[in-house]
Amino acid sequence: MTGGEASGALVAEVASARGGFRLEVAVRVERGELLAVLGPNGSGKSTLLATLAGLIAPTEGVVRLGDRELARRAPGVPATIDLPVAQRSVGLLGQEPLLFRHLSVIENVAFGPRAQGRGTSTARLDAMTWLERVGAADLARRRPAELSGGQQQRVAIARTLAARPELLLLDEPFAALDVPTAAAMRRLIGELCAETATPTILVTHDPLDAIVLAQRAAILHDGRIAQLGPVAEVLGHPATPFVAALAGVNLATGVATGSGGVEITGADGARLLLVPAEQHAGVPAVGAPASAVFSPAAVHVAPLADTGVAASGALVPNRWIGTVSLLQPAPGGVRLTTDEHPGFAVDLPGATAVALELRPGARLAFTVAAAEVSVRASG
Amino acid sequence: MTGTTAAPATRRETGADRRAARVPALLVVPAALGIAVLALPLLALLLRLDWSAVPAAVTSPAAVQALSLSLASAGIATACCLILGIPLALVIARAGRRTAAVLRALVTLPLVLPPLVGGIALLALLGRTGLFGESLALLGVRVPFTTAAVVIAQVFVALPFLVITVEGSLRSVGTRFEAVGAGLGASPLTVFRRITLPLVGPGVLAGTVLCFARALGEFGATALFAGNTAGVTRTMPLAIYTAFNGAGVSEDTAIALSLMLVVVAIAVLLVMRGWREDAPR
Repeated sequence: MTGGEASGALVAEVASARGGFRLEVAVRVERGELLAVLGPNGSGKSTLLATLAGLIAPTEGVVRLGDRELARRAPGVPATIDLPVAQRSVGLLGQEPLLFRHLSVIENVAFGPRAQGRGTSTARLDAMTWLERVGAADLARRRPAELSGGQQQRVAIARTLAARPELLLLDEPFAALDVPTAAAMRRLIGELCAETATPTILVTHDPLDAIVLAQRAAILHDGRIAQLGPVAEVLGHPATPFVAALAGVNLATGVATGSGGVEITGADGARLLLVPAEQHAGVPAVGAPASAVFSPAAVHVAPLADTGVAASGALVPNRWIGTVSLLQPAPGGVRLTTDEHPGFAVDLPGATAVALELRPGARLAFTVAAAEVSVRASG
Repeated sequence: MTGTTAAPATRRETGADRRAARVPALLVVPAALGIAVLALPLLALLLRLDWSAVPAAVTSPAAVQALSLSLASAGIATACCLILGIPLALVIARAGRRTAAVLRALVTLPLVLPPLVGGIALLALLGRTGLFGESLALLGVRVPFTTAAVVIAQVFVALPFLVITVEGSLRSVGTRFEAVGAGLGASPLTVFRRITLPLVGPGVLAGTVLCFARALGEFGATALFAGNTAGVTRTMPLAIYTAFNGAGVSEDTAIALSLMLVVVAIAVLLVMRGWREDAPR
């Protein structure tokens, strides 16, 4: 109802419950910042947004936006503060545009300003400005049913922003759009968030959204934040297999060794020692749980004969002798996995794959480029 | 057909589908009998009609009086049903599962009850010795056997039609658009006025038509609770009954008056169709 531009940061430390599911998070989003929230289905992403928007009441905790408290509740007692949805100034945009089908495009966008007490003509002027900003001014007089999915989502963004939210919540807003439309929308959201400096949370399953739009990323898992940090850090060194798969990297967990590496035990006791070329600060203590990350493309594959390594038990850093278990097509080549370390994908260019005469059951030497290995303490 | 974009979850029915899904021949016979049961009596009514007597019958002061009373009372009753029924439908549609079930059962009861029972029940409540009737009498208010009683009886039997129709409409529209409206800063009343009501517009219209038609045809509860006084409580159905049973009056008058009600009912249905085709989908 205050209706101004974004006034301050979001600080939320809340627990909420939906069905048997429990969410417990602490997040802070600065003015002008976009936080990407990633996580598998059922990890609590939607519950988080619903809690912030006021659609569900927290079981305990505080949600603060700038100098306003949107919700405050101590465990076991009724909420002392629980602002109704309409008074929160929180804009929520989901996968579906949900335009009001009985109103024209401009009436849809003018709905927020009018509901907040601006006069009809002022609200329409406001709406027109927002339609121009999203590049949909020419659609103003149309009905939602006459628009394409991408156009509808553009109008929905204009409608959300025209209500001048002080916090913007985006729930997979590009998921229902085709690739070029999604790219255009991504650019638009980036520009508008930068312009308005509204603190924004973007829930997504597409790491591209995080890379293009977000400064920081949070990974939700089972209702808790499993990892939170700059996007490059989170995607570059994922803490969970979910993020590793999302970022397209191999995540190996094992035990730290004296050489600054990680020793991994694969299937049937197969061992692999991953040693990075450079040591980062914060080397895990010997024997402590540690993880290593490398890209599927950072693995060199050669016939056993070429490497001069007999299939002996000797543990050579960054190398394992593997039996090909599965071959899949990958962009520009082939992705394979081995019996010994089924969790690691290895990508080869098509030509290399042909030269190696790849087939399931083939025994080959796999060497990970040390420069591409990074190691962290885990847990 | 499907193109490159993702196929919609439900494919549209095509002419080819309808061709493949033929009605079994065995079912055509009961279907034809069904339509005959509904249409033949009305046809017989038209055939029995002495057309030369129609103008006199329908323009007689008694008929005009009854028709105007019917239209006026049914109109007022329908307005009352809209004012009471839409909020009630909203409460039921948004209530918890158990509350909704109880309220819906209460609303449906007058629908399945014989209208005569409704009339007796209304007398028990508002009659001279009724639950509220005595207190009202002390205030000098007498409800039974007045035009107000006609309207109350019509509201009692017609309200369920409106509530059930609008509630179904509210349920199918869901609450997602209302949540969007609230998120844009609209108060609950603004959301109701500018989002909920327009979205259930077609349902409200259908409910209004059913409600009006039911009020127009109301006989049993009116007869018991409001009586049969010409110009005060004698609506069209009561006028038809009186003409049919009345001494010295021919059946033809009753048939001609019935024809008038049929014509009014058809007109209402046609008006509704016209509106619905204009309505945004």
